[in-house]
Amino acid sequence: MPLIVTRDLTKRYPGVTALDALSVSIEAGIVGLVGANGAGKSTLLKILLGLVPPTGGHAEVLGFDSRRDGLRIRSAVGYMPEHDCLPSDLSATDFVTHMGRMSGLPASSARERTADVLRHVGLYEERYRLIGTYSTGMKQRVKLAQALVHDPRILFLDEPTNGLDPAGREEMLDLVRRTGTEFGITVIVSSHLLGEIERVCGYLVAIDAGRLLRAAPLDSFTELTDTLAIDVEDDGDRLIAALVARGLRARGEGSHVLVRLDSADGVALGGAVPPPSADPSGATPSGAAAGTGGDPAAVYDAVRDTIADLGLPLVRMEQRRHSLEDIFRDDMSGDAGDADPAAGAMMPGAAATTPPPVAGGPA
Amino acid sequence: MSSPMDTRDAEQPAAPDQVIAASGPGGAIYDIGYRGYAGARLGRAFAVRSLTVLTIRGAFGIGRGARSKIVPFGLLVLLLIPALVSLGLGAVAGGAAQRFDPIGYESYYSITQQILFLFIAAQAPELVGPDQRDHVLPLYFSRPIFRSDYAFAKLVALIGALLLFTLAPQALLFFGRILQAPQFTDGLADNLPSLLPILLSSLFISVLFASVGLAISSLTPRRAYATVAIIGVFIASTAIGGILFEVFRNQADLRRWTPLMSIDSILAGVTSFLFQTPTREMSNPIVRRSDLPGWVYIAAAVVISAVAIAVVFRRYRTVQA
Repeated sequence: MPLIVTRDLTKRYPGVTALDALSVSIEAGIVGLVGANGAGKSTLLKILLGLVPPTGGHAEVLGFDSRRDGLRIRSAVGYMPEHDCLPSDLSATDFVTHMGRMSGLPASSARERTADVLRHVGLYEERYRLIGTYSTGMKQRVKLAQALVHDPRILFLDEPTNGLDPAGREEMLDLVRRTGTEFGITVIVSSHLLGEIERVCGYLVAIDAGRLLRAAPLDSFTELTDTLAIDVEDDGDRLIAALVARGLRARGEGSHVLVRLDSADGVALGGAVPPPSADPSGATPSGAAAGTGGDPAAVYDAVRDTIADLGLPLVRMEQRRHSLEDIFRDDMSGDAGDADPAAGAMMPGAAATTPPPVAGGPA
Repeated sequence: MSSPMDTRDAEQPAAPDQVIAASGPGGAIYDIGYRGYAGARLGRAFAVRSLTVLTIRGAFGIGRGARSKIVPFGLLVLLLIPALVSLGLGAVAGGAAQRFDPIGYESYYSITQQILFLFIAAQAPELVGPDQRDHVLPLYFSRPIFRSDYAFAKLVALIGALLLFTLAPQALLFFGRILQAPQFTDGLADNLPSLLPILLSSLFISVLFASVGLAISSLTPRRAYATVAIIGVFIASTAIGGILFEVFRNQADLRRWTPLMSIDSILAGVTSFLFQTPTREMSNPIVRRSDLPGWVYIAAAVVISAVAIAVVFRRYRTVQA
């Protein structure tokens, strides 16, 4: 049963439509909410909390209507806002304890839970100092702690890595992952940084300009594409020329050579450079190759033969995967292989250095 | 308010115990993993009470740095000085002094009203400003309370703090005079009739000052603006009342209503009415010479408080979170 359901959820501010008939249902787990700045992520979270009334449509959290049962939702949900939200003249211990009590925990339980969650987020002796003296990273931890203190069933984290340095991002992402896995709390984490989302979430909800682009398990966003990427230890231009001569759609991209797997119209036709020790499947059905249309095996064979003929040292050959950024492109199924090199920034590790924000949507 | 959703805690497996560090012989720190919470969840009333208590403590700087305590406690000491002087006179001159003593239960409010103004101007912005300045409101509003609960807690807290401020010196005076009386029963008989007027006056004044102060403070996150505005309203209204009283010198029908223009006249009118002070003994000249019926001051205090409270609730219903 989904924990969160929205139907045609709409929020209009004067001059801006923040959410535009958004319908989505979200199950338990770690769920990424991705979109550019201004795509409507924060607005969605606030409506789900019952902080902001929707202009139209319907939202349910844990079976409770966001308009009527805000209190019940808020007692079972923890919220970590995007921006600074901490008083400077209280210690972390005092503040988180107070917030626990505001969620209905009796005084002694609130103190115990505060000690627990502050330890979990990695605040130790500093917890007795005034929050005003904290670094950004420590403040983010306090923000997470106050959202966890009442042991919520669902946690809404709005851009939890905002303003953190690379090491801080790593630690925060690790905390998010632990919260979702070890603590058994469903986490809805919003971010405009796909690289981060990709590393902690199992499910992705992508929105753009207030509309749902796609909601699906993370794996399905990174399925294989129809593009084969080849690295040879040489200038790839000769290879490209030879591949094109064989009738393949090949082109260069940086140091890679990209070949379309679905474009084998005329693979090995006529054999402009006939392979000496040609594999039967590559040479004999030369005429039929055009008819096979998108037979990837034929493309692989042709590529192998071409490389062998040219005597190029082959370094790597792999089928490209969709990149997460593709969901924000107009043509999702098309030339995924055209993804700019920035796509590489979404590989683990590289994400720590500020990856570019996703394209599309009002900034 | 406990809900059926809390059952998850029972199902949640406890993380395995894990020793992360050992410290000295026989001592060890265990990381027992994340623990759920299956205990009681108290409702809104408890949350509102917690916020009220925290706010009152904040008003006196308790739980804050030493610097936060200087203003409230300094003003409280100032507030007690007239009572101590009065009791000192009584101790030296005996009961006879009381007849000439200018400091009485009723006049105490007028004598010390500037201190109350200062307290409101200094502390009311401090109670609500930081939550807006530091954007803490979203955290409050994402708890299981309503926005109006927040406004209510802040109002109750400031009224409570002012009650303490107005009642503390009166209590000192009250018990001091009873104990100073030659006969305890006489002292009791002399002072007991003042008890109800003291309580009612303190209540009216606390509600009036707190609601006006909070209404102004809630409208801006900036402390300085709020402080200046509060001082302005309290002092300017007094000045305007006095000026209009002179301006309408020849228009008696307008002139009688000028005390309602200033907060200090309303305060004087309310206390005079509650203590049933004869007109010629009223200390505030404008109130004395206007000779409005006492209930008009009560009505004015109630109306102004109600409007100010409405402003506070409206502000927190619409403020962005």
